Amino acid sequence: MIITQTIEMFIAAYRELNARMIFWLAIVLNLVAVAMFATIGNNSEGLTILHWTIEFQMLSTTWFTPAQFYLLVFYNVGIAIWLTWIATILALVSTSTIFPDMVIPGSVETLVSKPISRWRLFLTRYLTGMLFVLVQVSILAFGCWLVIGIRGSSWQPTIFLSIPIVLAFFSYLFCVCALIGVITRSTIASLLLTILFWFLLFCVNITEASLQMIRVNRDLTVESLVLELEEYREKDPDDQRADRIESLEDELAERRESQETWHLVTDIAFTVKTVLPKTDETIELLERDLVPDELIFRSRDDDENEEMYTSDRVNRRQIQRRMVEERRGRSVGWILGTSFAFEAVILLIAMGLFARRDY
Amino acid sequence: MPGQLAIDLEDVCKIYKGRIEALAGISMQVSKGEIFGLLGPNGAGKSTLVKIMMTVIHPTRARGTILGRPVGHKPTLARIGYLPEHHRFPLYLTGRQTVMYQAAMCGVSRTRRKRETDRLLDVVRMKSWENKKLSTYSKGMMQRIGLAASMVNDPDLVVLDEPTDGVDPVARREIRDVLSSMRADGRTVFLNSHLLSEVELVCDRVAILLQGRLSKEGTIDELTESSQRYEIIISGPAPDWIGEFEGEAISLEDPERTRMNFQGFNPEQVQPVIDRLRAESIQVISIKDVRETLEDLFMRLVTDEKTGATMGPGGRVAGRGGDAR
Repeated sequence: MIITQTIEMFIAAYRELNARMIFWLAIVLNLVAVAMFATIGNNSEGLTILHWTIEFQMLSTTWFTPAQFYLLVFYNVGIAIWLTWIATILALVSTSTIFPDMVIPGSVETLVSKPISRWRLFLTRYLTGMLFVLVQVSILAFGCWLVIGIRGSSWQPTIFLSIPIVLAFFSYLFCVCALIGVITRSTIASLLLTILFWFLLFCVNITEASLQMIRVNRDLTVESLVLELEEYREKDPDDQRADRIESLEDELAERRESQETWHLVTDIAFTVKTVLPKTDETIELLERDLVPDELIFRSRDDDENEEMYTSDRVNRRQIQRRMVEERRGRSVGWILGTSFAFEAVILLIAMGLFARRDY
Repeated sequence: MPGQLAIDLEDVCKIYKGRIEALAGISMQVSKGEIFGLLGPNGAGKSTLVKIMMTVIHPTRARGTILGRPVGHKPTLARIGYLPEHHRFPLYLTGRQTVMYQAAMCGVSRTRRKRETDRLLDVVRMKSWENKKLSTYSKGMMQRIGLAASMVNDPDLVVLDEPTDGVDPVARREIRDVLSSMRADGRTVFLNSHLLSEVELVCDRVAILLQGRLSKEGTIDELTESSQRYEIIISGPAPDWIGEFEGEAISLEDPERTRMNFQGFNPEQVQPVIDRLRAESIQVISIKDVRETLEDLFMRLVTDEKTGATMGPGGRVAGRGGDAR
């Protein structure tokens, strides 16, 4: 009975999605994205689109091999922009009706009066929503894998890691959408409040990254001062050097005080972030496996606005490198574990409400 | 005999937030193979009781069994068909897909699902519409599909909440025929309806709920028995001896005629009255065995004898005597 019910619920979910224009729109847009991906490339002069060449040395084969070029485009555009923003919004719009439609009067009675527990009913509906994203990501991942293989001559199985990673990313938002849907029974409310929650996560990420940048700046400044101080101390002492050492020690003390304050602030931000789902870090997990370190730093070292971030002791490259190192030092267990823990709590609340409520 | 009972409820109580007492300890039995009607004004607790039986609402307190298993036992629902009031099946499904989906949710195997769906679409006369989407259906068509969906799992008990709501007289009659055929197949039907004439036509027994309490329960004959009387219309004034038979004389508009009522009389009791009338050469114009209709009974129960006002909708506030609203 369980298998019959589950299969039929998935078939019904497919019919539900099939009935919506946006499902097919999302599929078509994914196919268009893959087709566009296939039309671009790089040669010795720069970027190519079909048989046209746009001179742009930064993207030429002098800097990146075709395989590296495609991987960078796949990660920076296909995943970081397309799947995590545009496709996610489309997916939320499509799936935000799943729970409100289930709990509206007249519909909910036909479901909860069947020999299936409310917990299983909820979870199956939840999985049918995830199915939508699975289809979308799979199309994009498979298409991009073919393009990179054929045009870049590099068959990268790690591209398929994007499927579970983007699914995990979407699930952080979809659990909130499900909870709001069960509480409010309104599609509009669940969609808007989920997007608001997403914006909150975005703000937390931006804030934490900004605070981290300031703290790293302080860390690097202190390290630079310590290094300079040691150099002076190792040299033969004279009055001029003694004055300089004294001056450096004063500056170091002052900087250390500031460093401690910023460590405290970033620790608080980190704690806040720990209890929330880590959307940015989850997507960055793909970068760890897909894009080699030297490629990341090469692309980031070429920033034209470097002066904006450069101080007398620390430049932006150093800050960026340290930040990337620190972010990559965050364990997969912490990123996924705490995010899934958040999702589990939200789902338990939503399932509890659904199971206990009278309809 | 518990083995012969399809529904055996005891002390079913539901108190909503705000201490609204929707059901105040309902006990009722429904035998296997009968059509049982549940009546009551709006807010009497009929739908709450049905929803508790179907696990849609959690009771505050409930004992008893449905098909021999405790109330709320989920696997038993596979043996129950249910048509909710104001049901909303997904509009993107066709009639056939809807019935098939409901069957699958009850765990019916694919082969049996197809066979039963074909048969039931014929029964509810929706075969020609089976591949059209529900969004193109009328209210009556929706009810027919809902009825088919409620029977597709070959249930021992069918619970129908306002099945004739929004359907035309022809369809009503067809639905009544379907209910009768269910009874003939040995199924139990629990019917919740506002349409008293429908209930009277098809139900073996009825229960009347008033403000969350069971007011009356029994066969329609049993419930209307106390109202049974003989009404004799004679020409001329009422005879003096009418009091000897505990009869009551009522003058009619026509001064030449009199109506005599003999409350609670059976055919044997009325014979001496007729004999006496004949012996005294009083002309008997008509003799009628009169009994309340279900509607008369219902209206009598919901009407305050002193004020003549009908009972308002809604349950009681727990711990108080008045209406909730």
